[in-house]
Amino acid sequence: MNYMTRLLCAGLLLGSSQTTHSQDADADREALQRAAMDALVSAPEERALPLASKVLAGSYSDDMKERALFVLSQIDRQEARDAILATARNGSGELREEAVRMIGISGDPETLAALRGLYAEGDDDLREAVLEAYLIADDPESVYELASSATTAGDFEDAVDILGAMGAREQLARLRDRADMSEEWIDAVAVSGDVELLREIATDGSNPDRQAKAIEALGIVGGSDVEATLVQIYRDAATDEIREAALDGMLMADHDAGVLELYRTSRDAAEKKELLERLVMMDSDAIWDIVDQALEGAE
Amino acid sequence: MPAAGTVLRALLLAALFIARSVGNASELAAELSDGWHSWDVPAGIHGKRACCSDVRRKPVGAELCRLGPGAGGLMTDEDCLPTSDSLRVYILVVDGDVTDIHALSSACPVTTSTPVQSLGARDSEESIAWLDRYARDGSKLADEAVTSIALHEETRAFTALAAMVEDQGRGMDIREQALFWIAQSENEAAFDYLDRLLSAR
Repeated sequence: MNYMTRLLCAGLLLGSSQTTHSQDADADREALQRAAMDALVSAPEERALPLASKVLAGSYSDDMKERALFVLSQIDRQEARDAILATARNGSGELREEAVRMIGISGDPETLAALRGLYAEGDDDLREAVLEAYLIADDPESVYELASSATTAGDFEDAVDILGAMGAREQLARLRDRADMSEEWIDAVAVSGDVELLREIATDGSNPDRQAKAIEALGIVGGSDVEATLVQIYRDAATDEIREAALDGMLMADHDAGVLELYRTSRDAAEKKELLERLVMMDSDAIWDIVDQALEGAE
Repeated sequence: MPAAGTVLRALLLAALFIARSVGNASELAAELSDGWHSWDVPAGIHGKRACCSDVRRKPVGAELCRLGPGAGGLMTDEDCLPTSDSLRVYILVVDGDVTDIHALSSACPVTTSTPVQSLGARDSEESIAWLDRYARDGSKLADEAVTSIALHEETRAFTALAAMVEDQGRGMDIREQALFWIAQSENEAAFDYLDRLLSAR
């Protein structure tokens, strides 16, 4: 190897080592910067506010800015709320949605109210983030407002889903006159655990489809009180659809005792056959009682 | 670029500082036989009110912080009623090894399985240099050492914590913990340090 080649190789090696060193230094600095942002969460507000605001406004990575948003969400000052709201309004992509969620975490009523305007003009992702923010802030009334003013089934469904998850029975009950928007409303009532409302819908005779859906939803909720209701609904059913829904409900509630009771009291061979099929579908041990009785009768 | 003379002077000063710190730390270490030891130093803002959670908001003497093996994890709380301008560093030595480190307000009532040997009042630098030797890895002892340093008087605590953050030879968890305490500091230099760190590119 001549002198020039060796010099070139040495230069390349040195360059490569310097690049690695520089990359290590960058990674080290970035790790410390992330740790510094995390540490600011519990720092005195007057220290944390200017630093987090600076990072949010500067040319930092989205990861750093998300950390800054979280720090600001923990600061009970108007400047912090304004900085988050500005990002929710003017930020880009995921950072914007993160800012919306942080407004939920901060829980400030005034800033939460400002999210309604963002919801109206936002895309699907932003609208989802607004609903999440209300969920985080435990603000069912704002979600109710969005559901009651929804103009599409999709928006209505998204809002009532959140109300169901929040267990917001009162708000869901108030949306009863908008229930035609989507069957999802009944699922949300079921998720909220409002058995009384489901029972009312199941027996009000106003809309057979909705009644059937409510009866099935009762089965999902389950419980001894519901089980007795399902048996009674089956007995009182005016149509085959309602009877079928009550059986579906018992299947979902795994209430084989109820199906067995109906089987034993039925005097209709076709109905007995259907009830027996249901017990088989439910993999119920009651089948063996029926078989034993049938064999005893044969003997 | 600084002149060579300036750099040399800075290096000499740094070497002298290190030598002095090591000397002080060794002096303190030499006095530590098996058992509990304590020394007092000026407390920082958080150190003045540092006590265990059990004693939080209760008058002095109502309850005692239990230190040492079998006492369970001691949760240090920096918002306690007993306050003092002085911080007490507690060290447990077992078979020649340091196994427990705590720093609490000198007003915080404590109880230990064996009597605590008091080493009296010590210089902050000496105390920090001694604790700094244990603030290396992610062990519980290292965590306690960093927390104890952070509770010393602000300026000296900040200098030690910043040096920890800059020292790439230490574990990242320890450097992060040092950063945590810098962020809690009400020292203006600590704020400037964080500002510089976040502005670095």
